Amino acid sequence: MTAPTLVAASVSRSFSGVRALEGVDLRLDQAEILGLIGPNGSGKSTLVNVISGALRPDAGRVLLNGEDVTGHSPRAVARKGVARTFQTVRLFPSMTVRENLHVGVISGNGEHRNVDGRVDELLSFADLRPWAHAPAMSIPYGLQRRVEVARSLATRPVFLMLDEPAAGLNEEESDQLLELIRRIHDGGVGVLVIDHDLRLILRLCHRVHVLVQGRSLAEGTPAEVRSDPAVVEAYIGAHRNPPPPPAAPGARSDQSKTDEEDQQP
Amino acid sequence: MVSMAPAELLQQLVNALSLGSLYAMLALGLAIVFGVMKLLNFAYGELITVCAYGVYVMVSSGQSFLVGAVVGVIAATAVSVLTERVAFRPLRGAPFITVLFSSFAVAVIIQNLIRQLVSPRPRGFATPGFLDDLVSIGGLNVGVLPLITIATAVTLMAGIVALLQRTKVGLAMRAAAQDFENARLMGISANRVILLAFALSGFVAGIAGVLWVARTGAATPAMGFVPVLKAFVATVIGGLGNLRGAVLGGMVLGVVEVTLVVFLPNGAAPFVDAFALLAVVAVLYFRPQGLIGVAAEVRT
Amino acid sequence: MSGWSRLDLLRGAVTWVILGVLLGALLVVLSVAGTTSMVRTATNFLLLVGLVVGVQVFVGNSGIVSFGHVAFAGIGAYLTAILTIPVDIRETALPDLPGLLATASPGPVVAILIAAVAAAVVALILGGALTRMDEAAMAMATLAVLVMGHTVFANWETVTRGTIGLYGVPRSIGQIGALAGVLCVIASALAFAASPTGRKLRAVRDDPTAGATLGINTARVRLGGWVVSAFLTGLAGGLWSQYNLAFGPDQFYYVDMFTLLSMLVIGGLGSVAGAVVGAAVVTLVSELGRELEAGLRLGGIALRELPGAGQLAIAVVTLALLILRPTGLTRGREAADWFARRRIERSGQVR
Repeated sequence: MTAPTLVAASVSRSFSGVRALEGVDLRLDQAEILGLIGPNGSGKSTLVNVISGALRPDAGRVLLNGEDVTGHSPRAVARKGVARTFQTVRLFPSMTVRENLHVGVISGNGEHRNVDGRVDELLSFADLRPWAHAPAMSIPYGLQRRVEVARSLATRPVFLMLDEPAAGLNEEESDQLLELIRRIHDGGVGVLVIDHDLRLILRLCHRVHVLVQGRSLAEGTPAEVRSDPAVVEAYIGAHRNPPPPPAAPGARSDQSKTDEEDQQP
Repeated sequence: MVSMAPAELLQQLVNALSLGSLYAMLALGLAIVFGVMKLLNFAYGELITVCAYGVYVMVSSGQSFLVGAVVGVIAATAVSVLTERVAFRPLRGAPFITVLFSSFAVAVIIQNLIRQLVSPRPRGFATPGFLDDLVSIGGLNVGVLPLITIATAVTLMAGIVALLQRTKVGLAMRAAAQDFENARLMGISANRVILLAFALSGFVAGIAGVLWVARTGAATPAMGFVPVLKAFVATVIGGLGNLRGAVLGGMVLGVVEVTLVVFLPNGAAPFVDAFALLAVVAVLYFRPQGLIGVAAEVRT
Repeated sequence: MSGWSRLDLLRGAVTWVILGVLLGALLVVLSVAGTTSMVRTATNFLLLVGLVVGVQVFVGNSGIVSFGHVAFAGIGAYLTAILTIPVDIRETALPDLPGLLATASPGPVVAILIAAVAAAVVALILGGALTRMDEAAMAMATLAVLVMGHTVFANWETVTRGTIGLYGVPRSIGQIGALAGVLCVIASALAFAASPTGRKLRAVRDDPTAGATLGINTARVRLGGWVVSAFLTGLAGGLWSQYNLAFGPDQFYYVDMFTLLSMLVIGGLGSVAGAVVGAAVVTLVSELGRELEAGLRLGGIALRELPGAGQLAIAVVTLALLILRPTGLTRGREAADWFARRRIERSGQVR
């Protein structure tokens, strides 16, 4: 039995003549965390929208475990086990944190027994217990993001696509988010992460896929991508390296190697 | 099925086009405001009522119908602008349902003010005799009023197209309809655009109101409900949010109604409206976005 | 129970108790200390609450305005009336009634239930199309429901007596019956709100895109709310007919629809408590308006009649309230929340 995969094959999409995506191939395995990076406007969100069914591609296909789900509605794609979050947090504003998670739990496939228990589990898993009864919009943005991620887990997805989850988060919140994503992945979910926070991407992801102006530019391990001259040229910018980040608690030993690479011209 | 002589068939066709034109104009006025503000204005029907009473007041005090018509159009335009200033501006940004419902409240207010200030009873007046005459065109007899209605509609729509495509004002309105926030960022005054939309909407309502009242010869406080209902239904058939859709929807509704009147057995006559609406719901089942509506880009 | 949250159920139960106590107390006080006319007004108020709550189940949970719900109330009222009018009167008033309708006398409770089911069936058929539309289009399509309903009531003379209306309905409920019936409607409304469908419907109301992302079938949950709401509104209409005894098609047209909606909007769409509060406010205002309409007496001088003043007053108050509080007086919060919020704030859980 083959492991679950989520594939975008030769996907193209234009908006009023502007090519947002052109012939993009992307593959997400359940066993990995894949980062998707690229400058603003490179088509990352468009790609996620195509995969999740929110947009129809002009060309190409989306395959879930080999099954063609191109153009299926977002609802149908979600029911098949592909969850996603949005660039701006989209919680249900009239509800509390707990109620938001409750919606997630009752919307998924399968039996809905002991719903309250499942919600409690999610609250614990995402460290949200103290805010369970707070109105969703009254908590800090970083926490809202955690709620949204936890809610998307409630449907027991096989794949989770996160569109700029760290946007608007401070460093501490980003680190906590990173831990949460790792734990989610450890639980057997294939994760796709779009973000501009390279620190996050490079620490979190097994592989990184680079999109520039709607085309795939490179793909490989974080180290490979980081040192790929084309990527450096197009995206990172040799003269605009961000200063090496301070070692965060629980950072992997790879961190020191990354710092060394930063010193290279 | 009734078999008709070609002459009668053509006469009915003219009737259908005439009713369709009237509905198209009604729908257009409603769609203009919706396009710019995403507001479904229930009080739009009362503009017809206001126009009708304007005509009535003039005609009953001895003026000609034409003078009455001019006053009616001005009154409708003025009231439309007034409602924007007093009721809808404070509500900008409120949830859709709140604004929709507020427009309902405004409609009730206007209706009851008319009851208070004029009379709760219907008021009849004389319409110019020549409107009921028949004119001979190519050997066929066609009513004058239907012809005038069609001609007015065509002229009005041509005028509005010209306004929207060729003037700065029109450009501003189109930009606002496409993307309100961006239009504001580019310096287009929100207040001015909305005011113009309401004024134009009132103007169109006035013209349609004159033609409406020329058919019935009466003004009643509650008369606004039927036109606004037709306008609503027409815009939904055509597809919310675009003017072409509104016009098409109006034409379709008019043609459907006349067709039903002609072909339904006599006993079913009072059910014409209900059947027309049922047909509309059926169309929407297969095409929820309307005939030339655009299905949402980003789907759910 | 599958999919239900204990907290939501608790919330519903507490709210039901609060509303039951308030409404019951009102009735008790007026029965003991008020005039018969006050009791009558209170009973009508209760029946009105039933109707408003029925409408709230759809409009409040889905956020979509419905102009057509009076049609369901009408189906409830007409069918219940037909089945409860004594057979001999039925023969005179409606000589051409088909088979069962002419002879069946199932008693008021069963009649009301049958009528409610009929309303639900009609809603199911129409709802198939309506719930697939987008919000704005659906709101306008409900106008079509309104007109279709009224056209049928006003023209299907063999069944409804057309514009003349029905008479001869026996009064099978008094204020207790009204209270009991309305408490049933309120319980059902709260149960729906607490149910998974109700919860998902509110999610779609808040954010349809996020809802779709979780796999919620928007059309299906909307249809669920629509049908349940039609059932309850039909039931309330049936109850109403058992107290009001005679009515015509104009009772189920846009004027009354406007009144029902204004109650919801003023009180706060999102909660059953809001529906009750709104009904109370509007009833008070319209009672005052009715005084105005009859002409004020100032120091012995009667001012002239002011037709439509009641309506005008309601509309002006509605508009003012909407401008000041766009989400209604209760802001959509349930009665139970009022207590819960205090507890949470006190325990310091909300920052």
